[in-house]
Amino acid sequence: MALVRISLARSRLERGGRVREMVFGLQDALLATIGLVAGVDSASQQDSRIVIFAGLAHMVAGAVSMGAGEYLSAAAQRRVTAAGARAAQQIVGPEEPYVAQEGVLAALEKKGLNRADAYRVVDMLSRSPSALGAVFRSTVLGLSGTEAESSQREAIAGALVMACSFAAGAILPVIPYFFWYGPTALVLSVAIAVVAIFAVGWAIGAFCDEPPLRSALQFSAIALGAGALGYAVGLAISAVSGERVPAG
Amino acid sequence: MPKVVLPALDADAPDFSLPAFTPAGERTISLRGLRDRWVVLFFYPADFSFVCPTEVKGFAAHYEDFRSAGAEVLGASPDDVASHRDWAAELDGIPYPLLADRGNLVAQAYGAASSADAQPDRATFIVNPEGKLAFAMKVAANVGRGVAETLRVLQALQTGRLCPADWQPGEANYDVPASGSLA
Repeated sequence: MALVRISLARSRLERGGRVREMVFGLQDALLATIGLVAGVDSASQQDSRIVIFAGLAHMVAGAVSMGAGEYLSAAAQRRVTAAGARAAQQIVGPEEPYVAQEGVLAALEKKGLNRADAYRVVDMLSRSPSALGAVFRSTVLGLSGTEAESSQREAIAGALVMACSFAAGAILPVIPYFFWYGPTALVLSVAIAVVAIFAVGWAIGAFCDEPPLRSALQFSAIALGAGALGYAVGLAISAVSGERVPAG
Repeated sequence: MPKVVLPALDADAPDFSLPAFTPAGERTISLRGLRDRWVVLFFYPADFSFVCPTEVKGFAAHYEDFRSAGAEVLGASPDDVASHRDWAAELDGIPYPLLADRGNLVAQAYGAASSADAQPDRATFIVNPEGKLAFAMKVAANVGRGVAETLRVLQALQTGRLCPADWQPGEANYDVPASGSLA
């Protein structure tokens, strides 16, 4: 029974494991595309075909760039973490086991075990250098097993999620321009982006067993606040320079 | 950082009276109460650690040798008596008293701790039967002390004569020449 519950908890964690890339890709694409659409719409004198081509180009370039960025950052993190794990391995080497022992002892005390019990736990762990090393890495150095052992396949998976999320977020605000043009398309485009951002916040809340409305409002406030700030800066620059600058 | 200075040799060793865990249960041990005996006093950082047990057990293994030499061994750390009791049980029994030096009062008097809440240094002292300090040493926290070396120094001190480097019991001592100079 206990193992079944652990398995359920693990599968839930794995399902949520890519939420960072998904949210980042969607939110970034929605806001950036709204800015692009508004600017191109204005500059193209409401030619919806230009907006569509610009939006599609932005979607493809952004998805590739964000996916590559995610892959490179994950790969760099993996290398740094692996180097840290190698250094940690030297610390817990057989010549100086007491360094790891004292580190785990202090960490367990901090987590609420009394010193005598913590000592006994570490003493038992010390019968297996690999077990002591694993606990030392996770408890003292804060290196989780997934970080230390994350594979290239996971980096690629993260990159694909990021690219697909960006593409989905980038195409949504462009859809109205397939059917309308001018202010109607722009208003619909902004509305779709707002609804999509709200929906992402709602979904995160629901997934985390938190009030979805509060999650949606918090998420929207930050995401749309950032977009509004960019728009305001664009307007300010336009006012100062006398030129029309696409905001976003 | 507070200045930590070892007390001078041949000066009166700082007196103390501390609760202790002994094989006979909780007792109060004072240095004055051990006058006329040699006393080996060693400070260690804490109970339930992974370097200290080698020293605590080392003194336990040589305890009869120290007793045969007419010396009493005392271990001291800032832990309380209950902790010492559990620690002694964990180590399958310790034959000498473990002093509960709460707040490092005695360790600070001996220059073995910088403050009340610091872990004491690994410091060892030998006090002669007159209550004078005859030996004082400290070593870095990651290095366990040589118990056999402490016993050798005790036995050398007990000869009351000049002992060359690495002198061992049974070996010849230097005698001070009539001129009073060794040169």
